[in-house]
Amino acid sequence: MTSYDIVIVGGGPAGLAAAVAAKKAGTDSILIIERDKELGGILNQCIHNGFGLHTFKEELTGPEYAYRFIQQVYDLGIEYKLDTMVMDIAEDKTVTAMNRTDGMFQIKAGAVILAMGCRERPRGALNIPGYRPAGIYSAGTAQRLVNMEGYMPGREVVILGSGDIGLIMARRMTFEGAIVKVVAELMPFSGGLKRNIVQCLDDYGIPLKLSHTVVDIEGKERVSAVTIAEVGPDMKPIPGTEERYTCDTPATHCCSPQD
Amino acid sequence: METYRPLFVLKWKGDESVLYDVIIIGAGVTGSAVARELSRYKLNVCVLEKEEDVCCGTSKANSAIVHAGFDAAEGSLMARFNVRGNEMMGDLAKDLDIPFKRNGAMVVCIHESEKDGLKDLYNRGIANGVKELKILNREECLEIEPNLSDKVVAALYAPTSGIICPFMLNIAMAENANVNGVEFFFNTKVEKLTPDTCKKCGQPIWKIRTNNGEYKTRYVINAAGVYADYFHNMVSEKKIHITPRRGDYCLLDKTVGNHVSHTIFPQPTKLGKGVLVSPTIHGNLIVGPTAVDIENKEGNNTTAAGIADLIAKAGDHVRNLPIRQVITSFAGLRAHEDHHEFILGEVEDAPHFIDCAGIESPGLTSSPAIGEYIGQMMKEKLGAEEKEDWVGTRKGILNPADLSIEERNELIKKNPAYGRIICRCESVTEGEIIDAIHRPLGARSLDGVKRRTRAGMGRCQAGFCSPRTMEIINRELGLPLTEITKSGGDSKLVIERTKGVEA
Repeated sequence: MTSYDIVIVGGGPAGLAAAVAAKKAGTDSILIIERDKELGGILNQCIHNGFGLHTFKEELTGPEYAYRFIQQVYDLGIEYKLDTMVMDIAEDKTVTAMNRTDGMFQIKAGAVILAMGCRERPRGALNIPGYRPAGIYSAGTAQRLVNMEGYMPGREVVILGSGDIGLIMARRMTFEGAIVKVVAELMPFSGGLKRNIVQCLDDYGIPLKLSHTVVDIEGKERVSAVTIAEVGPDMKPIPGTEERYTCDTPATHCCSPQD
Repeated sequence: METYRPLFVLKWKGDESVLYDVIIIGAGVTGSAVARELSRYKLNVCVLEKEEDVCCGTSKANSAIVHAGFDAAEGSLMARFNVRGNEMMGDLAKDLDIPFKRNGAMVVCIHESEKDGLKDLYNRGIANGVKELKILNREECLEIEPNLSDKVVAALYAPTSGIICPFMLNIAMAENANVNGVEFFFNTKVEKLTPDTCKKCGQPIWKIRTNNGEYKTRYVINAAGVYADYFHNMVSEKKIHITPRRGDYCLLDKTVGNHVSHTIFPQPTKLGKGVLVSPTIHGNLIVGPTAVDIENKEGNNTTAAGIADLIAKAGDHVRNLPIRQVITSFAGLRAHEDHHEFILGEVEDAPHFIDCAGIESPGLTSSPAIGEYIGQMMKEKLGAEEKEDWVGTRKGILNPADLSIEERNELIKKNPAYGRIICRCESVTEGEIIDAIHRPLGARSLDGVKRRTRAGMGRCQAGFCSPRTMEIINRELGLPLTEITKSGGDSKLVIERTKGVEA
């Protein structure tokens, strides 16, 4: 069995930074395992700017920022495997992984670093009622479709959740000619950066409705309308506050760590 | 890149000059079970389905339980077909290579005063022919199911109850029927049924007008689920009425799939078997259904009230129910006939029109038995001979997780697509998805792939794998991305290119 001092699961910013730091600290035997076909992780779809202000003292886009780390991985000769999925990590730190060319293989790791990022919670996990037509996306999936695949999921958009990805997608979809009708936020405050609220919503006249959630999704084949309502301090919708928006793409956004 | 050749080319439309022996309306679990049984005989049979795939109505959204048969009224068709269907399921699952497990069911009593009800249920079960039934006391209950509510006083235990994948059962029966010669026409909605007489033999025949051509047949089998009354009433003066009875469900993550190991029911009421908690055959936990009578035969939307009701009721019989681990909720429509009974057989005033109507729970369990019964009936009516070359078995989509590392590597060497994971939550490989697309009656939509392979059924609910699966459908079927749907019709996933991207 091949062995490495450190096996890093995930070639996104965290995994890359960990690999570079470990290498600089004197560990030579490092392997990064990345499931996607390129390094960089979620940053590759974050094509907006604003990255790197703290670390590099300049304003970079997601892919540019990721490339700073990827370049270091190349320069330091750190090994990585792309298109490779970790299937199992045993208690003795045997990592089982798989890809098209190597098949299923095992690696003995001295240490394993988990840097898999997060997974968005789907609409069902948020108990949003209604039909289940096409056109409902998590903000991350919508971002991938628009920024990496080059396809628009819809023209009229309602976004639930005002975290940074929700806000940035509101602007991104607007740039692409979509009409973002509203951004609803369950909490009485937005989880996103102030600058994103200003630059992504206010600048484009997109309303942000705090203490609001989606209470119904209509449409049998594609989404046709979404109803939002104000919630009380108990987070439950207040009857009589419903507002219905016709749309063809609602996006939800909520992240949870991967396991 | 490997090249794949479709094994079976799907015909989109029937030949209008053909007089079919039997046309089945509906490719749900009942229609597909009947189709498979009819495929044994030298008959010309086709299935007309309004949706783009099999298993798109009641069959896709239910509890996925193979009921033991103690609940249905003594002497009813429901009781008879339930018990027979349960008996048949073990062998059928083996023949069709689909997962099925007899995990046992418990009807839990939490009030001393309701214990008599358990005894009644036990007696009814015995009368229905259910085997191995037992009434357990509180200690016995908690011993085999430690997470039952502290209030449990007794339970009816039915070891023959099981869990199955309803999609797989439906898909496998349809696939097997298709391989044995039954044609399926999708996106084909029956609009009008007109009685006629065969010019050659003088026998009654039916002319069927659809949005996709006209069909002629000697016999019609009405397996239209919640629409069965619509077709029945089109041809008969003796009207029937089917109410779509909506049931909301929550599906919980696999991390809590073993919270209970049996299917846990409350005591049944007039509206049905109540809110159950059960492991699914794939290792999730399912909670549901509610029971709400509605008018809209397409109204399978969940409601806030429905989900709240479900959450409130589900905790009654199982303690510490980890309801926060929900990954999706959905609703299904039971085809509830006013008399809560299956209607099976030729309609009195409509010769050669055969109902399979009112197929609500225990419909999934009963489907193989209904197939067997209708198959036998048609054999006699048409004097059909058995085919010598009928193949009743089917090989399912290979699940690489069942293989050893060595076998898996052998497979990946032969077909590298089995080395690439597409759905990370459920560990589904590209190889499985390609198989799902190219097998008989293959998948053409995201939901079609999902129901055949589980890609997109996991905890992220297709967030990560949707774009990848779309890419594979695009490549394998030559469908442009803007034409790929979630579930047929207009359910397109993306609508146009972004600005400045060459199409």
